[in-house]
Amino acid sequence: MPAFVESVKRTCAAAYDVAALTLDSIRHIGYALKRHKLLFKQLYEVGNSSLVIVGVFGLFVGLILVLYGGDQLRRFNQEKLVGLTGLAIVWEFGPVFTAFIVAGRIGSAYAAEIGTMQVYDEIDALKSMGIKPEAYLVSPRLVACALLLPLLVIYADFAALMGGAGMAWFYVRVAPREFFRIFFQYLEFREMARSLVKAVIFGGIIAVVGCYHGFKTTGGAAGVGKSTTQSVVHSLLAVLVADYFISKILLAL
Amino acid sequence: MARKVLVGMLLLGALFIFGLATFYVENWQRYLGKGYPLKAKFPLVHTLDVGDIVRMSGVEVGAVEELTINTEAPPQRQVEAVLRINLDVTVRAEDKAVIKMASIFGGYYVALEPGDRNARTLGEDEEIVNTAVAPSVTEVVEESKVTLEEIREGFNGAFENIDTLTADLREGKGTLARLLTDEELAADMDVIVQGLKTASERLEKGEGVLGKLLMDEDMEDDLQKLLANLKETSEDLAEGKGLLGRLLTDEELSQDVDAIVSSLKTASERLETGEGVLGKLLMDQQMAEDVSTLITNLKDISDDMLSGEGTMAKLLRSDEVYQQLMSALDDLGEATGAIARGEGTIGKLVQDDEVYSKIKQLLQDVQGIVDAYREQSPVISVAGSLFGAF
Amino acid sequence: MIEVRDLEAAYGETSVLQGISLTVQPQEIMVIMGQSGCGKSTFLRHLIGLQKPRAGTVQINGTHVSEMSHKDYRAFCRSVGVLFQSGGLFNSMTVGQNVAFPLKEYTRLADPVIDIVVKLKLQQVGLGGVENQMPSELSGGMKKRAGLARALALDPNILFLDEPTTGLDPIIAAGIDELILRIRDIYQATMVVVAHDIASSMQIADKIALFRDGKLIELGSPEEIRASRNAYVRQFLNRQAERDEDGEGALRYLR
Ligand SMILES: Nc1ncnc2c1ncn2[C@@H]1O[C@H](COP(=O)(O)OP(=O)(O)O)[C@@H](O)[C@H]1O
Ligand SMILES: [Mg+2]
Repeated sequence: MPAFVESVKRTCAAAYDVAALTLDSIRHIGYALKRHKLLFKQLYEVGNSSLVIVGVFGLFVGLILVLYGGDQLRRFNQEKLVGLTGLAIVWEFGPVFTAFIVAGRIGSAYAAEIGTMQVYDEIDALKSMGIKPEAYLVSPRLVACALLLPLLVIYADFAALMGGAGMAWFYVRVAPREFFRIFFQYLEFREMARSLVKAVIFGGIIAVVGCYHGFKTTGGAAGVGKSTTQSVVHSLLAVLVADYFISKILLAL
Repeated sequence: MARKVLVGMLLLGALFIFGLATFYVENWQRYLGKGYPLKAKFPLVHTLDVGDIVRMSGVEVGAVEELTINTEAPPQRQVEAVLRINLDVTVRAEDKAVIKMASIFGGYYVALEPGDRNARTLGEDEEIVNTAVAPSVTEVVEESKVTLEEIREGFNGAFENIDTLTADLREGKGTLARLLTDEELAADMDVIVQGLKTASERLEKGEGVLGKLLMDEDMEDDLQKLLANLKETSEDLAEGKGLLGRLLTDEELSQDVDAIVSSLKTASERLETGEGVLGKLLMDQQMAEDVSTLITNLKDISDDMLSGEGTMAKLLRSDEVYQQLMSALDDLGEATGAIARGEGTIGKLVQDDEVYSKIKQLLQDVQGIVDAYREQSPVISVAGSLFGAF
Repeated sequence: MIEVRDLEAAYGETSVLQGISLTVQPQEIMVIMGQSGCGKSTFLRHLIGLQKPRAGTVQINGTHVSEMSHKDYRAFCRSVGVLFQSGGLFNSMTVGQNVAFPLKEYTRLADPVIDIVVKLKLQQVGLGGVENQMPSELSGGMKKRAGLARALALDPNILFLDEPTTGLDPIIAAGIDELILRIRDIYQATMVVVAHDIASSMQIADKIALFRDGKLIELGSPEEIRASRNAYVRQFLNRQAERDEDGEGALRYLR
């Protein structure tokens, strides 16, 4: 029982820390924008390390979706509607899969980077030079992720649609024209916007969770490893939970 | 530390409550304070639910916010609905609120139908006095329950008309001598027979609508009955032949026999060229395909329904939807039956293009229903089933 | 002037420092000694304001370190140099960039000027020519000295050095001691230095504070410390191992 109470307390304190970190880093976005060198470095990191893998992921998501979607639709003789899988990509697969990749790729890197800095007193060194780590370390990362994730999502959507259209052509025997005609017939701007809003929030979540785990790293190199794994697990979880709630809210509005 | 725990706890609590709220709160507009409420009283609301849409001329202008039932009130006004209407929409006192079916597979919405343009504009919490409830599918079907039996009766009626026609022919002023000697007449007769022959061949080969209908295994039962009926009719014809024997000896000649025969000829020509309903039914490959896809589509759906496969099937497995679909089929039957009954003589049937277009329209309607169902259901279910796959 | 009053510190529930009070006069070198784990680094962190005291106050030149506004704190940081126990160099930057970092943060010097200052500072600690190396390419002692160079970058008048000589060879250590004294003279700086080496501490210190298990045991000039009658102080100075029953047992086990 005391262990349970202890863990509840720890969870609450962690919630406070995450919220405080989020607010702090949002408050210092101005700093990140002013120190554009820091920001560009982070933007470059995010874009450079995700571009290829997001494209490949997107492509395969498109292939798989059309594979299954084509099969399902064939039962009803409605293969021509296979372009609808594109909607699933825009609604969910684009933002969520991209967020997953970025969480695995960037969020974990943040946890490792900042975790190492924490372990080697670099964070304290920063503070002792009168620099707020939230401003110097977190804000640029937050801005970079929140800015680039929507772009990566569009890019992933594009790759997935290309993959899907190709698969539709060869496997379902629906011409790309028809695929995209159906896709654009049913796609609404609102849905696209919704997906991008999600992407911005997912990006924020990934950056904050990664940095949070970095900051709370203790115990040397082993601790860094632990933080890194935890950051991935927690950002995936947070992204999915947030996805549910954001979808629910955005759909209702 | 303790402060951190406390604030963190409050934060998590707030998030939790917010999370719960998203489960329960369907209509956010209400809580965001957008729009204004109007009341409307109905005798019943079918399955209209809170959150269902309010439309004006087909445009979504609000949602049903609240439904309360008052058993004390007169039965015609016992359900009170509160409709939340967007701010930029004016509803006038003479406007009418009608509960309508959203699709043949259920779902209802409230339609605001414009009344007197000069009537007063309704304000917050006022009541829309004119209300109505459109009948549900089941009711419509219930009212006009017509079976294949009746279609058959209709067909029989048509054949009886042929009978009458031949009887007319016989009882008219025709003579066999004329019939036998008149080269022109003989040629005409030949053409008629040829036309009927091609038609029946097409029928046999399964071309054209009737052919398809006859060749369809699913309709085997009906086919058999239909064949029985045809046999009956041909027996009648045989009797007619007997009458023709009598005709052979009949000395009385008709002045009009030419006209009758030639009109019969035109009819069969029309049949052959695919004019008129029967002709179209026999010749129109396009329509035949329409019917056949319709039937296979319906069959696919019902197969899936019965085997309970796929998301769609789940959507359809409920008996209610099944019944509705079957009723839709009955509707088609009823309409064709009505045409058969209503249009009297086969001559009229053969020549009336309007009837053809009516049948075609009806087919399209049913196809449209099936299409509509398909068009909306993949959007709903494909995504769902795709996610289900992972 | 640094004034610490009844400082108490804790990590979570475990108390680390209890009731520490001491004063460091301007241009004085205060050496803090004690067994490892007794809370010396924690004490330093409180002086810098990295941690808030659980009780008690830390005042530097009359202001409470833990209650400053960010602007005041930055002004404070500009006049303070800190060397962390592990060096605290940014591993993602070259040594030169590390030393240049506070200069870029606090001054508007042109890049060539900064380059010159960096070279000078590194030469001061005997590390000429390593500007373009990464911290990971340096040995432990070099890292410490590079850290010291960074701490000196802004010509601070207060320096906090956490174990600047620990783990260094005697020659370098002696060099650092000399450097500390020179810095005090050049910058007229107040210094708080954590050290283990008794001989060198005696040499550089104006005052020595001896910690034991989070408490201040003895405070005084090197002479006073040397003359102390406190048993623990004597044991510490004479480099004697712990002599309780457990210790004996452990020693017997060794034999
Ligand atoms: N981040 C921390 N969390 C919990 N305990 C800590 C932390 N840092 C140090 N401690 C504990 O505080 C005590 C004092 O540590 P420290 O001040 O680093 O000692 P030292 O005198 O060797 O510098 C030690 O017992 C150590 O275990
Ligand atoms: Mg230490």
